[in-house]
Amino acid sequence: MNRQAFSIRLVVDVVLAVTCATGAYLSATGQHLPEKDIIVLFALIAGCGWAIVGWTDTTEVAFAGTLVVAAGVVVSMLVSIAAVGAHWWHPDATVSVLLGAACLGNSLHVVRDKARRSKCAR
Amino acid sequence: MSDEEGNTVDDDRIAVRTRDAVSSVVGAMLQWKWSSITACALSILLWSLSLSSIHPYEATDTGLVSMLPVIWWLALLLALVGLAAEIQRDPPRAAPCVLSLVALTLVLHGTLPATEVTPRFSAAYTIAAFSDQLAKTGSPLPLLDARMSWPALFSATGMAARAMGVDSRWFLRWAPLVLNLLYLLPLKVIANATLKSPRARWLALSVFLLGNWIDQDYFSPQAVDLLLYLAVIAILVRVFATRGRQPGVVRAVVAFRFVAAIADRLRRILRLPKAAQPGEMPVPPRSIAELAFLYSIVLAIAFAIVASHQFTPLAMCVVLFVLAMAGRTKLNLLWVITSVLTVAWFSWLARTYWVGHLHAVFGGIGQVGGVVSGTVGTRLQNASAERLLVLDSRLAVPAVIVLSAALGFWWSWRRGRTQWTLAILAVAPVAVALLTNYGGEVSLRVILFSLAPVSVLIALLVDAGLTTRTSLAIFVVVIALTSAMFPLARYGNESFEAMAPGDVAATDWIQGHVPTGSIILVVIDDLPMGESPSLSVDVAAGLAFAPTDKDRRVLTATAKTDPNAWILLTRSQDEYGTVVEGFPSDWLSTLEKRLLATGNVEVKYRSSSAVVMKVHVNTGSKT
Repeated sequence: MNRQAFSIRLVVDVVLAVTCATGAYLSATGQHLPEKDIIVLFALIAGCGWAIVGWTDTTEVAFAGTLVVAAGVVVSMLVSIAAVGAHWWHPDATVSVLLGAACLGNSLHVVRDKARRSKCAR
Repeated sequence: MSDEEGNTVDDDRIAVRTRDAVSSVVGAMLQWKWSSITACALSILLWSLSLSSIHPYEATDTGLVSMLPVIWWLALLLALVGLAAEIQRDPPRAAPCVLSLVALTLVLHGTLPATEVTPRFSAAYTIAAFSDQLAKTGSPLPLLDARMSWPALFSATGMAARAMGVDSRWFLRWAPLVLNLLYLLPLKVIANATLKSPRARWLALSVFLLGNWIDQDYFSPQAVDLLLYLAVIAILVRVFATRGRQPGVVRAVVAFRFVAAIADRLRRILRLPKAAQPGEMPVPPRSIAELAFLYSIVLAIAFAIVASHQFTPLAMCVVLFVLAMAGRTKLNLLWVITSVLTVAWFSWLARTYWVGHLHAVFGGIGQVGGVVSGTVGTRLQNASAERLLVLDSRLAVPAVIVLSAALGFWWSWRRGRTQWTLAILAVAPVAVALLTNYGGEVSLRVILFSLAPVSVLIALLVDAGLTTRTSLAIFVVVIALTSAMFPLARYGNESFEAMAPGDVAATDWIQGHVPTGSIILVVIDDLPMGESPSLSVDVAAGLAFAPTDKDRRVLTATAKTDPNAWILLTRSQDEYGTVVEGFPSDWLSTLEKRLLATGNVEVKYRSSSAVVMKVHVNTGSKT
C-alpha cells in the first residue's frame, strides 16, 4: 500500500472510532437524538466490522466492504445470541460495551496506520 | 437521370448525413466526461418526480405497473444509459459506475419503500414481532413459532433496536433498497474474481439488480443470510480458490470410461473445445496469518448463518460440498464443518421445531413435482387475465436469465474459457429443493441463491476476448427484456403486499387495547401483524362465504368457547382475496355487513382501511 492508501485508511479509522464512541455514549446514557438510530446502527455494522477487518491489508474496495459488512452483522448476531443463551439480556449495556470495544479497535488502527503511513513516507 | 432517381439520391444523401450527424452527436455525448453522471442525476431527479404519481394502496391486478408514469420509465432508461455511457470508456471510472448502479437500485428497488408510508409485506411484520419479543424479554419462544428456533437475526435486531431507541419495524421499510445495495459488494468481488474486463464486471451488477424481482429482500433472516452467504462465496473465490484440484475419488470417477465417454459425447454435441482453460482470475498471494484470519471470518459467518435461518445453511453446505468435490476451493473441510454445525443446531437447539414433526421436515424429499406445482400450479388457480400476466412475467424473467446464463457459460467455453466455479454456484442450490420440504417458496429461494452467479455468467457475453456483435446484441436484448418485465414481476403483487397505514393502525390498536389471551380471527393471514405470546391469530376462512345463519352459529360458538375473540378485516385481506383467491371485488364489505347483521359482533375500532370487531354472544332473538 502507498501513502495515499494509508491516508484513506486513516480517515476511515478516525471516522469509525468517533462514530463508535458516539454510539457507545448514546446507548449507554439512553439519550435521544434524532440521529441516534442511524449512528448506533452504522457504528454496529461498519464500526465493529472495520475494527475486525482493519487488521488485514485489503486494498480491493468491494472486498473490504464485503468483509466489513459481513463481520459487523455477524458480530451483532453472535454477541446477541450469546446474551440470549447466557440469560443476560441488557441490550443497551451490551451495545455500549460492544461499541466501546470497536472504538478501541479502531483507535488502535489509527495509531497503526499513522505509523505505517509515516514509515511509507520515509 | 430522372426526377424520381434524383429525388432518391437526394433522400439517400440526406439520410446518410442525418445518420452521420446523429452518430457524431451521440458519440460526442458519450465521450463527454460528465455524460454518465448527468444521466444518473437526471435519472434520480425523474425518479423522485415520478413518485407522486405512484399510489401503492390503489394498485390493480397488475400491481403498480398500470400507474408507473412515463418519467419513471425514463428514469430507468437514463440509469441504464448512464452505465452504458461509462462502460464504453476504457477503462470505465469506478465513481460514475457506482453512481449509475445506485441510480438503478433506487429506481428498481427504492420505488416501493419511497411510495409506501408504512412498511410492506405481512411476513416482514412477523419478523419484526419476533424481534420485538426478543428485544423486550431476551427469550425466544420456539413454541410460538418454529422460526424462533433460529433466533440470531431476531436477537441482533432486538438488541440493536433497543440500543437505537426504536422498535423493530424501523428496519422494515428501507431494507430492500439497502440490502440490494449491499448485495452488490460481494457480487462485485465474485465478478472481479471471475471476469477479465472491468466493463463486464460492472454490467454483471446491473443484471443482478434487474433480475432480482424475487421479493425475498424484505427484512428477514433469508435476506440477511443471502448477504452473508454471498460474503462467504466472495471470500472463497477471491482468497481460497483453486483451479480444479479435485479429490482422488472424484478424479477416479471422472476417469471412469463410461463417465468420460458421456462427457466427451456431450462436449462434441455442444461443439465445445477439449483444451479449454479455467477462466477464473489468479488468486493474489496472502500471508498465512491473513489466510487464517479470513478463514476464521468464514467460520464465524457460517455459524451466524446456521443460527439464523433453516434453509440457507443447507444451500451453503451443498454449494461448499460441490465446490470441494470439483476442486474449486482450498477449504475442502469447510462443508464438513458447516454440515456438523447445521446438524448440531438442528438436533439440539431447534429440537422444538422437529420433535413430532419429522414427516413435515423430511416428508417432501424428492417430491419435485410437489415443489413445482406448489410454486406454479396453485398460483394459477382463480387468477384474472391481469394476474396471469404478472405470474407469467415471474416465470419469464427467470427463464430469460437462466437461459442467457447457460448461453454465457457455453459462449465462454466455446472460446476456450471454462467457468466451473460460477456454474457450480448457479446450479448446486437446485439440489436443496430436492432435499427439503420447504413448500413452493423453495423455488424462489433457489433462484435467489443462484441469481448472483447467474448474473456473472450472463456478463461473460460481454467479457474481454469473448465479445462479438452477436453476444453484445444478445446481452442488450437480455437487459431490455428484464428491464421491461421487472416492474410486472416485482411490483405485480403490490395490491395485497402493500400494508396500508389504516391496516397498520388497526393492528396497533389491537396491540394496545385487546386484552391478553385474546384470539384475533382473520379470513386471510395477510396482515401487518405477527403472533405474540399475548395474542394469537387464527384464520377463519370459512367466514368468507358462509350463509348468515352459519355465521351466527360460528360466531356464537366462538364467543362461548372463547369470550375474547375478535375479528380483524383489512384492506390487505380484501385485495388478497380478490386478486389471488378470485373472490368477488366486494367480498369483504359484504362479509362485514353480514357479520354485523348477526348481532354477534360489535365494531370497536375502524380506520381508513380496516375494522376491528369484538365477538360476543347475542342474547337477543334476531334471525
